[in-house]
Amino acid sequence: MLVFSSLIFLFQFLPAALLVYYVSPKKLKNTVLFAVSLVFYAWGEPVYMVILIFSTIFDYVNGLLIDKYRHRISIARAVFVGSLCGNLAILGFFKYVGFVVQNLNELFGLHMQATDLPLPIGISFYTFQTMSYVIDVYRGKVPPQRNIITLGTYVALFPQLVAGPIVKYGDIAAQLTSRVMTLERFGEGAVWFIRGLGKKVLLANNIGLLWTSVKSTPLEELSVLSAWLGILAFTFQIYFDFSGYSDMARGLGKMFGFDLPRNFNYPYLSRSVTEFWRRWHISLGSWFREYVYYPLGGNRQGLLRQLSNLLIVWSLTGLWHGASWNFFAWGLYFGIIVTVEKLFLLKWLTRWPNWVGHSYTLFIVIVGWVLFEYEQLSSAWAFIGTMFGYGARELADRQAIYDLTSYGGMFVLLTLCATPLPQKMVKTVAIRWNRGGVVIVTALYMIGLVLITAYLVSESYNPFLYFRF
Amino acid sequence: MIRENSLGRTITGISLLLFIGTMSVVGFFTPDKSFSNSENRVLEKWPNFSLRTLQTGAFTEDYEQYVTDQFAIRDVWIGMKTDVDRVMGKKDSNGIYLGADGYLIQSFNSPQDEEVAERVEAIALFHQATPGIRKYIMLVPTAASLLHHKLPAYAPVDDERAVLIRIRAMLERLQPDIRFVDVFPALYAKREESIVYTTDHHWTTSGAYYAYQVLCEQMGIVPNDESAFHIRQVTDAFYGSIYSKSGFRHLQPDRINLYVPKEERQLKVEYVDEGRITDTLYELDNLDKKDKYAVFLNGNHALIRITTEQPSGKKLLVVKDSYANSMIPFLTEHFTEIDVVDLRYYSDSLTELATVREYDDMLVLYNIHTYLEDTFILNLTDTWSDRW
Repeated sequence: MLVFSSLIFLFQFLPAALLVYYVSPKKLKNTVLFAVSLVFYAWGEPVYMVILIFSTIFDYVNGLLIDKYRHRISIARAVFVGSLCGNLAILGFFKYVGFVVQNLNELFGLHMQATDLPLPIGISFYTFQTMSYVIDVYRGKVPPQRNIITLGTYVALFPQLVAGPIVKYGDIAAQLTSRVMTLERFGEGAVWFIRGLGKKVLLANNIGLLWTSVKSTPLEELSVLSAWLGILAFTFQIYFDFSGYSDMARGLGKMFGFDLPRNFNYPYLSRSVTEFWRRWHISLGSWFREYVYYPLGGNRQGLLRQLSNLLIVWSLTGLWHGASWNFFAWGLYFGIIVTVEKLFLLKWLTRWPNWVGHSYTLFIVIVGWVLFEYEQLSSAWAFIGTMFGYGARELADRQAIYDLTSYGGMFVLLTLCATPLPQKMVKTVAIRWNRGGVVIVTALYMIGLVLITAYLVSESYNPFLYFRF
Repeated sequence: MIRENSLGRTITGISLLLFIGTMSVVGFFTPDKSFSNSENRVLEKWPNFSLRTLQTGAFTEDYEQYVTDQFAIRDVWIGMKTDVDRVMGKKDSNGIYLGADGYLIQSFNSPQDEEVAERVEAIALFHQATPGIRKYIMLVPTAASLLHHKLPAYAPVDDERAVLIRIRAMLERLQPDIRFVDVFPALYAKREESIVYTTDHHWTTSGAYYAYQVLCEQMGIVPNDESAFHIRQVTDAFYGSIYSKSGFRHLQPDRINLYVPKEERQLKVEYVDEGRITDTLYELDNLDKKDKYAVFLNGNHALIRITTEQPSGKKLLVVKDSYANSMIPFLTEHFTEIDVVDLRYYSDSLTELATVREYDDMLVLYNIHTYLEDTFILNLTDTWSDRW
């Protein structure tokens, strides 16, 4: 798999892909895009392409069968259930078998061997997409896709293949067969892409260095200030990393004529945790809402049922992020808080001043990131302890003060960029100076691109955080 | 307004295309470089392609490295990156601090007690095997402590002096016959002179000179006065090792001075491993290469044997790292024969060498970093054949 934030993607794959795509006749564009996406995916780990293609063919057939037997509901239902089981089995086999076996072993003192396969990249994303296709067809929301290349393009579409957004089939079906491609739309895509690239390469990667250094310091040597700086660094890192990737996906989508949904909407400005999850990884939340929460009955079958539905959905959301108890705990943590908010806290929050809601939300989210980052719950507890002075050596040591002076400017920049302020400034400049504003804004994006290149050349090692999901 | 926005987007789109298009074409036509001077490493070459390497992912991995390594004007990009880092307030990179007055300073972390102990024990053990040789150990502090005041504020760098004191105490307890040559006070007193390079991890020749004075005092010999030398600048364009390591660019290069005795003397320098004999301590050809510090004794060698016209007949064994290379020229004024051993390359038994050669004195000279990190010092008494 290629990474957007790499020289090889930026200066070789992307220009080549755009060139082939735009020169090829309209009829062949999907085929070209599908082929290009497969190259993108197969790069470095060609074996797993088989699973991707299998998933596509499997659900292509299922979609057609469901449609064919629509009048004989029992057969259609059987195919549908078979498809869901098949998809979940693939996901389960590659992602959760090791975890389940390990837990069974510990629980019953067994010695089962788990196959230790590396997780196929993007499998959590694309199985959710193929499932959305089959479900949408079964529900009669969309007609089945008779052209397998078109369905393949949907599943493998390289801009969103590895890190989302998770596009529901119903939302994109129309674009798969006809899309508008104009220079302006391309330019809009370029703007999103450069912005996303900047978030990832200039912001996330740089502040990530601080978290890496804090995380590698033995806990007993960590001061309270260092712990906070570290987890704040991670808070920014994961946001700019993931939202940067989503922005790049959206931008690339536009360059190829697609309109992919927004995946992030300034989540750290939320005034409640419920709101946070409407602004963070929006496409995942909406997938779970549409395909799990509502089918379970949502909020229509009494409070008790609603609460249990919430907890189910949130535990699954947690586990979706990784096969490990800490992700389960992380999901459950948010499930409980969202439930509490539903019961009474939201009402209270609306009555209190805004800053209370902001602070409360950030606090919950930041503590949540500790659970997310430490695979061992005991380590997470210990780290949280340090944050609140329990077991910490001192309040602030040299290292912490040095990091604060080194990264202080960066933190200011990160805070600004987590709000819509830079965007607003760009708009103001563009409006105020007309043509001149256009020149300034374009120049800014180009300077950004040059800096991004400088950072990419400087980093030979550039892993993407959401790789193994 | 809407029209302007749309115009802006269009222009940005075209600019993006132009940029990535141009760079990819430029990249295609840029000839490959085999070595990066500023990074001091071999650059990735076009990788071998086969179905097998493609399937295992080896090809793609090498290819990505190749693209990064061979990216057009690579050094310019790297310099731009560290410049932006500096503007953003970053004061260190790869364990190197950007200090005041353009000094790059390597960080220092205190070692565990056991690490110190095993190193001291190794020397004590060697002394037991060769008790007839007077021994001196000189551990040279680096800019991390000498130029502590030039470090960025609050830089979390440990105290080299404290470690030196620990080592000294341990040595005096274990083997009081071995003389610990403390050069810290003398060097620290001269900290405002250029006693260490700004871009390299070594001391300058003048730093080595001050340490030589301290050593002479301990050995009971009279050092040559600075006025006995012509101080000759041989380069003013030296970018050293920590310049490469840090990636910081747009700094002033260093100068290298040689202290050439005014009274000319003949000497013979034999590079035993290569079987090469010369009559000079300096390899001026190395001044045209990346590692200009190798002007001193042609860099590091397993065994160098220096014979001088000095009449005393005294023999010295130096076990050392590269810090010694710029100090040894001063010692040729006082010994008839000097054997210089670098344990990182020397594969025979040092005990045997010492027995056969019957040295009067032995000097262990390391900078504090190498002394604590290098593991070969642990095997002073063994041979390589024992080790493997």
